[in-house]
Amino acid sequence: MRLEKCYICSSTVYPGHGIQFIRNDAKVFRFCRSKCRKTFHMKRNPRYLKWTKAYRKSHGKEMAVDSTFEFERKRQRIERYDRELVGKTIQAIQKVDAVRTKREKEYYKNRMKQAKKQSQKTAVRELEKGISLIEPDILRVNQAVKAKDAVQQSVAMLDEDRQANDS
Amino acid sequence: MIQIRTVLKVLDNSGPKTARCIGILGPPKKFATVGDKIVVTAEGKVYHGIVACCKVEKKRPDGSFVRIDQNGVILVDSSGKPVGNRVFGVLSSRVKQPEILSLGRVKTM
Repeated sequence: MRLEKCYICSSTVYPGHGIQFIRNDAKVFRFCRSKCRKTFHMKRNPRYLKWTKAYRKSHGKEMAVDSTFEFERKRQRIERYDRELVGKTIQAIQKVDAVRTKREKEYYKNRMKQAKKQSQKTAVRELEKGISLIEPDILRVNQAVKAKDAVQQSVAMLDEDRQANDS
Repeated sequence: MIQIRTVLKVLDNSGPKTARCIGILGPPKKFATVGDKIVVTAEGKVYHGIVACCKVEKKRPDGSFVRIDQNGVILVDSSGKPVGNRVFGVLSSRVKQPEILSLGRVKTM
């Protein structure tokens, strides 16, 4: 049993799923579902489709270069069965997987740090650009606040006078 | 799904480039698929042929589907020997089985 990767979205193709397409030059393309097959026949490049793994990796959204990826490789020669070796391999797979997930999390964190700064920068730039649009509103709010303060002050003064007259 | 009047690409060097299906051999059926023997006409002559590849996907015993982007035929004589001595293009493993097509000295890609 061999788990293949989809040509378009790079998800795993389990046995009995999807479809295989063989081009005239004998190159084999595997697709996980009809969505991927149709995009291929519409001659779209998976690098420019935002929902594919290829896009995310080529645009720096996900970790693309790492030593943990080099463990997974297609072997042409079949290894002779050895129970101990299988046990060891399964343990190693888990270890490598844990390391990879940790590194991926770190990568995401670092990316998000820059993203926050970037979003703040763009917000400030937008505010500077469009300050003229909201200026009248700000002035109106300021005037209202000032008027309110003046009314409150005059009321307080009246109260003080009344108290002085009473005494 | 090769039926009568389907035009197929000839995948060997026997001469004609295309051939038109005019009959399906074997048990009576409407459509021929990969590995079936058919009767074709090409350049005014009648040949027998074996369907080498088919545009409609075929299910394999393990549940996977395989599809190829052309309808192709290999021309043979009435005894089942290939007419040409060279076969181009993709051949499925089913066609290469000796009971379907004995390629013998014919070169494949």
